[in-house]
Amino acid sequence: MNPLIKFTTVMVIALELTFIKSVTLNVIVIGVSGFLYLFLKLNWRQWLWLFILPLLPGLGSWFSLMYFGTGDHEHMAWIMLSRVFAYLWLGGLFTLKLNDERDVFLATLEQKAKLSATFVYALVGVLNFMPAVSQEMKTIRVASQMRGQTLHIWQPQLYFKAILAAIRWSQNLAEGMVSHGFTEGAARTHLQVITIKRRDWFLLIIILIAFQLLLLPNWY
Amino acid sequence: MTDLVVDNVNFAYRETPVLTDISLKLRPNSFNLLIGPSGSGKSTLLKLLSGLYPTFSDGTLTGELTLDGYDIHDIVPYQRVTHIGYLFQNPTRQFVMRTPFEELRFSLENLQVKPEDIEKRITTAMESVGMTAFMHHDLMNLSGGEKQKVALATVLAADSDYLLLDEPFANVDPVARLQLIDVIKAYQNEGKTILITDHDWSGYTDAIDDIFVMTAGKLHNASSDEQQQILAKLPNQPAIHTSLPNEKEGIITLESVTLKNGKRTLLSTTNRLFPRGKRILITGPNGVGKSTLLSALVKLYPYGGTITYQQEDIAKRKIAKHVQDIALVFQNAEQQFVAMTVQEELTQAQALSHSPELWSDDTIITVLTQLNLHDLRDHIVYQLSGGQQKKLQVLLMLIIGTPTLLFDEPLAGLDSASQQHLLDVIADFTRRQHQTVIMISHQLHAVTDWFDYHLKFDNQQLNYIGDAS
Repeated sequence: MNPLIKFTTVMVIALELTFIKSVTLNVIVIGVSGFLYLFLKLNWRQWLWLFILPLLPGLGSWFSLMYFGTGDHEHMAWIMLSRVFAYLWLGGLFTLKLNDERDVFLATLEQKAKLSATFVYALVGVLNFMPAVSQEMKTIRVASQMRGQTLHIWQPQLYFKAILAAIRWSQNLAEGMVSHGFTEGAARTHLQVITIKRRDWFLLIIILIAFQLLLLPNWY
Repeated sequence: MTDLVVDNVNFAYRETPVLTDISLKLRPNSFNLLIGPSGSGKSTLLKLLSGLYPTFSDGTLTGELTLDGYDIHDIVPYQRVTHIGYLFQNPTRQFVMRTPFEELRFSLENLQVKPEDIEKRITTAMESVGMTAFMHHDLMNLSGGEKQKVALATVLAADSDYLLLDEPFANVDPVARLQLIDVIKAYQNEGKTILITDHDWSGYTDAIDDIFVMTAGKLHNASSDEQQQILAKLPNQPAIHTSLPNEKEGIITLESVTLKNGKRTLLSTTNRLFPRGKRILITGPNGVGKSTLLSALVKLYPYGGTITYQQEDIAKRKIAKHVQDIALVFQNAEQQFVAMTVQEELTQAQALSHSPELWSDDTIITVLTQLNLHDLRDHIVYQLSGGQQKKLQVLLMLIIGTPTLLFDEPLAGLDSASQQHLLDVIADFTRRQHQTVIMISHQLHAVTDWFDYHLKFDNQQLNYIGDAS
């Protein structure tokens, strides 16, 4: 499935979940996501994150509603807890595979969603920069230790150097892009032309219709 | 062929003129060399010619700088690049994508090359620099020289009429250097015009048609006599005079050490020692693992086996303490600055020096003058030229006076006078501070008699070479 279509599906369902007060429906969403995860071949770490990450905000709202809420607060508490899980598990369907599908996603944004190429390639640049950040922090620390100065985590100088590096890096990125002939607003050709398969559109519609049908029993 | 006109060009940062009254005429299909001391304005001129300046600087430009009658910096980038290709001094600054393939693809898509031609052009360009095997490797994991080759492939693929190269061989080993020279000559034979800045023109003296000399922001076209003189200055094959070490103990020892880059083995199981108080040169082809070895010695890169410093396993030493004894002068000078201005940097280094009595204010003034940095004390370190940054960085590290100093290409990008001055300063103070020096360098002309020992890093082996002593 094209990642942008997947993204749209996930977003629409998530938006609807916001207005639906139903534990059952949330559990169904979690269940279906969980079922799909079985085919995505997650590693144990990703599973761990899926369980731990929603726990804190989920339990937070559960406790506050359960013990400090008014009105139908017990029901609401369960809704909020299940909703946080539903959001994250649903979102995970998109984000956990994003690393592999990143290039296709960005190419789709540029070619199909007609997002400005400047925005897309700035994003590409930032994503490429991510792994360099931690290495840069380490290097900055060691390089200044060699100058006899230890920069601790709480020292602003460390962040000053990091920000300086980031600013210089962003200028370099802009300069580098222009030196490669990148022109804002100009047409570009594409080696890989993105086509969204008819099957993807079909799936999108089927999933959304199926979800609307789930709403019929008036669970909210 | 498009017509490049450079007439009466002036360029200044606020009140400080960088280039004054520059006029330049490149003959079509010629090979031109631009020389001059570090910081004389060579890179600035190339950036103006490439159209990146004044847009990406806060300087002001006057005079005529046109391509077929249009101001260069007004031409939209995707058209400009098809006429003028520009290779940065530091290739990492030019990269915007993750792999060489992506990098070239991005560029060709910008130039609106037809999709069916893109892959062919990428392959041809990567083949010409001999980097096809690295097509989908992470650019971050390539060595300095490999990056340079990829950067060159990117500008070759753009197929521009003019090719501007800013010290393309600074971090490149002699073998790769000859390959790249052939590639550039072949490109010229397709009818292109080449302008190259360099401090070392060995290997391509025959190819040079015109020489331009930049001195303190002024440019002149060398007469044929002057040209002869300039070209005669460099001997062709530098011979390094070193002996084999006979020390039984080293300040650093490698015991069954291995190095890897991903799955690629850089160094197979090696036992080697580095004698105390000596000057040791490390040479070897690009990407062989020289910088990686130095990173491992300061615990910035994982290795197999045991490395000891003064008989102590460095794996057990805290990094903060370890680098008090053994410090690396990074290839990228900016990483090593801790303050804003040159003066602040010097004050900081003086305060933390291992031998403060040696580094009086007078000494520092003398050395600054020797290195041509004296007038720059109030300057922001990040705004110095590449060569000035390098000289300052080396000086700062010398002031700190760490017992063992590792240098990664300290001479790259310096003119021969600056190289000599810097080597003199390093020699003088490392001797007085009894320091051990381990240095990677490709600038072999400058160092023929400078080193005690010479380690050759090749084919996953690290061996001392030289005459038996």
